[in-house]
Amino acid sequence: MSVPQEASVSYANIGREKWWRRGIFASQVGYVTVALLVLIVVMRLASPYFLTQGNLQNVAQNFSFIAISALGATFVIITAGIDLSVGSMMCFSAMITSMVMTSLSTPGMFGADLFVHVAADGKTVVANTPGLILTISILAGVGVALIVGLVNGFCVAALGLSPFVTTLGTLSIVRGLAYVVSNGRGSFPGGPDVDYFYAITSGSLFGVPAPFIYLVFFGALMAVVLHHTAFGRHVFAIGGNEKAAEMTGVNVAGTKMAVYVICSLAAGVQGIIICGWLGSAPANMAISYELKVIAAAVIGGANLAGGVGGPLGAIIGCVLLEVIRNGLVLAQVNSYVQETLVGVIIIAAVLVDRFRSRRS
Amino acid sequence: MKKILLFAAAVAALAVPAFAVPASAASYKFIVVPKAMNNPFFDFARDGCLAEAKKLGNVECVYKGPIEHEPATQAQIIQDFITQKVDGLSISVADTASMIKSIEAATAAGIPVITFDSDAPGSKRIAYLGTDNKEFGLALGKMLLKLRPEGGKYGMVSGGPGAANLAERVDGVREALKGSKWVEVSGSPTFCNDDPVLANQQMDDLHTATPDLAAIIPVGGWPMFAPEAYQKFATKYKKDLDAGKFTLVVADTLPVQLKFLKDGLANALVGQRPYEMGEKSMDTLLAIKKGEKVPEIIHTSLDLVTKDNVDSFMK
Repeated sequence: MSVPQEASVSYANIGREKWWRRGIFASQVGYVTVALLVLIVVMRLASPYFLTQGNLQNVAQNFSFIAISALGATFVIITAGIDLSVGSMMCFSAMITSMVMTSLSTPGMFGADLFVHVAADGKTVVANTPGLILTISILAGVGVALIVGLVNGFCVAALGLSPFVTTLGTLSIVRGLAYVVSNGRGSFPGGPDVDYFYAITSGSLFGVPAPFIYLVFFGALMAVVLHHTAFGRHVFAIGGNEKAAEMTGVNVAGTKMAVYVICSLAAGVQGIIICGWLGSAPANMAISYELKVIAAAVIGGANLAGGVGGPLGAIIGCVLLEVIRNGLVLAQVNSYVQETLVGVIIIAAVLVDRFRSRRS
Repeated sequence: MKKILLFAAAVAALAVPAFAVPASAASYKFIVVPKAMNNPFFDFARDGCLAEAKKLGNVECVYKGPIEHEPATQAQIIQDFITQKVDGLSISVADTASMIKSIEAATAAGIPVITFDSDAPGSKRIAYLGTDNKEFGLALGKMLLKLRPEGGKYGMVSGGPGAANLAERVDGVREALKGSKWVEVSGSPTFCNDDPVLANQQMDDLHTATPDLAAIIPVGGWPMFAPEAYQKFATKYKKDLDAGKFTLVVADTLPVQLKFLKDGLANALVGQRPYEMGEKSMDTLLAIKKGEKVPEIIHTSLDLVTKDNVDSFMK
């Protein structure tokens, strides 16, 4: 009988993790945060205007224009799905909100008499109940987002179609509807409630822009739902291993439907907020924004294969993209460089994640 | 970790040119914001602006706008310039409703704003500098009437639906052809959002939808800014063009367009003066900064070009 050789066996999954895989660097988010801080320092050196209050407010507002939708998209990406229709959804919701608002505010249009009347001077249009038109318009905009989300969810969850193809189709359908409904012209909000609309979508509270406040609220809500509810657990389970999730009794179809609805609702709300800032809903608004949203989510650590992702990552991805855009404009660098840089960063982020999680 | 550092170094290297910018002696920084930087029409405005800034000496001209015709991007760029506290803005407005808000923000920050080429009526801009777009539309319509008094069906191609200047041109064409034997087809004007490829596709679609279409009037030069596509389109109908059965009266007189006119691939051009708009932007903003009163509407002139006088424009 031979004495067994002392084989030097090494196990990669016991003992303390290497420093670049533990603590703050246990997930992609840590790396992206470090990159963001480095970028902020670089941008500050490149332009003295970068850290001024006005510019920071501007940056906070701008990244909130993608971030709320990125939160919704992260839900979908965690389930290993994808939603390419978010850009078109933003535009369509914005357009429906504007059109309902102007239509209900113009005396003579269908249903308008219930909501407005002309004042004594014969010219000013006064709302019968201040704020009612606004509420209905926003509900209409969010309502169409709900419908599109249900359609997406139904096709993916009940019919079993591929999310990529389904949402690619919805992208064109919704954009086309936006052109049809506005005759290719787009629309803009108007009427007696328009100032309330601007106040709640692009106003600010103690110097903090409203979109940023909504973002923080939705981000916190998403964190709670993802990490402290059964629904959130199920979302991660479906993304990690859909078959196993199904066999352990998770309502896969219902959960998938819910995440696509959440994503569309987030995009719809996002569109309404952008329309409030812009003052208009042009028919070519938010074209290709779905790529920015997905880029932000991926940079922030959401894995397109599913099972990984979170609100903090999505938000930091958006901040990174906006800091780059804003910094390049302030540093007077050629605009065309911005697109190139964003692409480089997406690949760099995924590479970093690959090296981090590689076990030798 | 090394990758992160390498990457950060690369970003820092990109930012180095910004450090190297010498302190300029110019005392005023004026920004010219076109509707879209990929529209060659605005290259002439840029050239005029840079030349005039050099001539004036104490003015710096910066030409920056959205790459594509996108109102949201234009609004964001203007917001960033407000943050940088520039001395003046000259904007070609892509979408009136969204620009009214941006112009208000700029004015509130103490930055004088003028518009060129495309106006934002109802906003706080101090002056509009550009073509009288109603006259422009009338000139296009009258040119068609002169070439083809017998009438027929016609269609128009426009750019961005929210642009006030294009809407005025469309109205001008309609007014010039009112009471004549010219009838506008349905679906006109089409909106190409300043995209030259889409403009050519739309012209093709108009002709396919109405085979006996007698004329197309693009109220901007976009179809001709994609020379290969336009060449294909016009050559397809060259027989009709030569026989006088199909007429193309196109707006703008960029060099590529003059060449098409000379080659018989268009019947007439009505041109603007973008170079002059760029030059006068600098002059007007400087005058405003000096506290002088400027006229609210400053019109630049139109050029009417047909085969007979195209040579004089092609020098």
